[in-house]
Amino acid sequence: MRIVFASFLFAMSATAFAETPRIISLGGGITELVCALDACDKIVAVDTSSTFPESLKALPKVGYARNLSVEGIVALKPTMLLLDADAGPPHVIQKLEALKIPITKVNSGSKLEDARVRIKEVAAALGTPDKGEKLLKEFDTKIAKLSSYQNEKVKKRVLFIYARGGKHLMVAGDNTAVSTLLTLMGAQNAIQGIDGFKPLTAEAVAAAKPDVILMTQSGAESIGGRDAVFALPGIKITPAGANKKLFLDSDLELLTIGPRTADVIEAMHTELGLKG
Amino acid sequence: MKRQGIAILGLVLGVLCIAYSLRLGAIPLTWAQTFDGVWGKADEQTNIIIHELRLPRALMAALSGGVLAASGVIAQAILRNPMAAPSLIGISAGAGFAAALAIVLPIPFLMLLPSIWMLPFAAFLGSALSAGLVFSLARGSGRTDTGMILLAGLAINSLAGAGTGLLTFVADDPQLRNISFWNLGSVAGAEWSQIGVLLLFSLPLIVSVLNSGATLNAWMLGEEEAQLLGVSVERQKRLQMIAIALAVGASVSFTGVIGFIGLIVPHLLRFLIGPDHRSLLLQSFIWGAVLLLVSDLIARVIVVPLELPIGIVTALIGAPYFIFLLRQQYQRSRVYDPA
Repeated sequence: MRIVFASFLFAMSATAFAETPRIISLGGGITELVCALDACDKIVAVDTSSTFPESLKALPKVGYARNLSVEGIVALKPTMLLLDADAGPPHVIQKLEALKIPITKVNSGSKLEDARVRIKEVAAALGTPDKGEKLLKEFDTKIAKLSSYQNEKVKKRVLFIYARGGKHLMVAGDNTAVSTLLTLMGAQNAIQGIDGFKPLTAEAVAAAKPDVILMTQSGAESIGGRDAVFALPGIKITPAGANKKLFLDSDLELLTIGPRTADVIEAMHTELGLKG
Repeated sequence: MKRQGIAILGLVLGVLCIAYSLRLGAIPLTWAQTFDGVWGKADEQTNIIIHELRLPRALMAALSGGVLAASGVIAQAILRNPMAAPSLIGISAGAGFAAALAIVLPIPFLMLLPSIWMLPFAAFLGSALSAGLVFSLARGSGRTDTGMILLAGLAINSLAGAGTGLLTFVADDPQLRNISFWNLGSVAGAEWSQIGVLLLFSLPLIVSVLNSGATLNAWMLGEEEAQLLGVSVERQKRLQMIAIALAVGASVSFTGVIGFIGLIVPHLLRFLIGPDHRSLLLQSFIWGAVLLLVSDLIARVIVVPLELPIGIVTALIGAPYFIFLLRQQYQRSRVYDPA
């Protein structure tokens, strides 16, 4: 009986997909890719981190990708659920699978190669691998143009601070999207030898001697704006603090590698006064 | 008569709440679909939604609500302190610390468990350890000092709180979110197997709810008086506290910290039906279940397709009513105040 029902349901969802795809996309990086592959109009709901493009603002939000609810998602009758390793909690994903919601898990890495894999995966899920190839070619061409940046002799030291309110400050080490961005930009991550995000301490900041502080706009706002950033312990005595060098960009542009990464790097490269 | 009325009202409300919990949610169902779903006669999706999502969730809410409220009554009686609640003797804080530990650090032997059991298992270990520590600190020369239980509980709470604080400090952003979600409580992840485990661990408490009304009444006169009335005080203390620790430990480990129920429900009922533990215990169990069911219902339907953490809802609906009753009681007592 169960099998009959299951196959019936599968057949139903298959035909539904053939007619009107309904995509729920979780994760700003994935959502951005769906739109870059011309499938923006097929998205019916996103998570809170999907902030680009602006047109998504009108869509229903299914909450924070790590704290999903089964019914909220099922009620939107998705024919495709795009998510990455961050989505959860696990019991929700298990139950969505039990309910035969078609889930596509996408790479969530922070290296250039991961972004390439993501483009292919999302394009394949959307059934438009040709568009994926095209986007991938554009991506590679743009990134290749940046190669001259990496010949910089004296590399500027950039410190990325990730803030969520005054008390919780982290710095980005290796294996983060930021470190990938900095390498491509011909700058140097001021924090070396730590993996991922770690809590910021005054002395570590001072010892890192950053020339420039990099933050997300929302992060800087969360602790009270530019002046508050320079007032953070340890910052004052760094070159960045002395010269008031702070560069802000959106969360999505700094925390994921995607189709806009090359443009972001170009803009930052100019803004930071790097030669190339 | 009034007591029975309130008990019956509680039971009726409880059944209604479960019925509505099965029907309402982000996915709209009719009553007919709901009933078909309960008997497994609806379509596959509806059956799964009722059997795997809504029913275990409603039962988890009912059972943990009952456990938390009844434990509150027992803790308040045994410790002879109106502010006592399971959270005061270190159970929740210990569970919270262990959960945070499991979220932040990959603990090898926990990684062997399936993901839905990893956090509950760690949390239960944490609650059992901290409760055990509190009791052993309060034991000396063959007796357990209730004052010491409260003080030791306070100390263990701070210790566990500091440990959790340390972990939130080193946690990255997603881990931090997971810790705070855990601390707000949720019955969203309920599974049948978890209900089975919770029921098993709650058995001693349920036995106590049904049997120890007279004992706790005698207790209210004072430990020595209770002894004179034939209560084996030390033994009762130990058994009741173990019953609470097992039941609340299991409940907290599946739902996270759901505050306030253990404090508010017993007090509400004392206002309504008086302090006789023979009815207070069972009624607290029933009304604790009702309060948590209502809270979960609200948590699920108010911000569709999102869900609110249930701990927020319990406090939001419980606290104002509690303040209202408290204020009423106070004014009434002032009317009769001869001075």
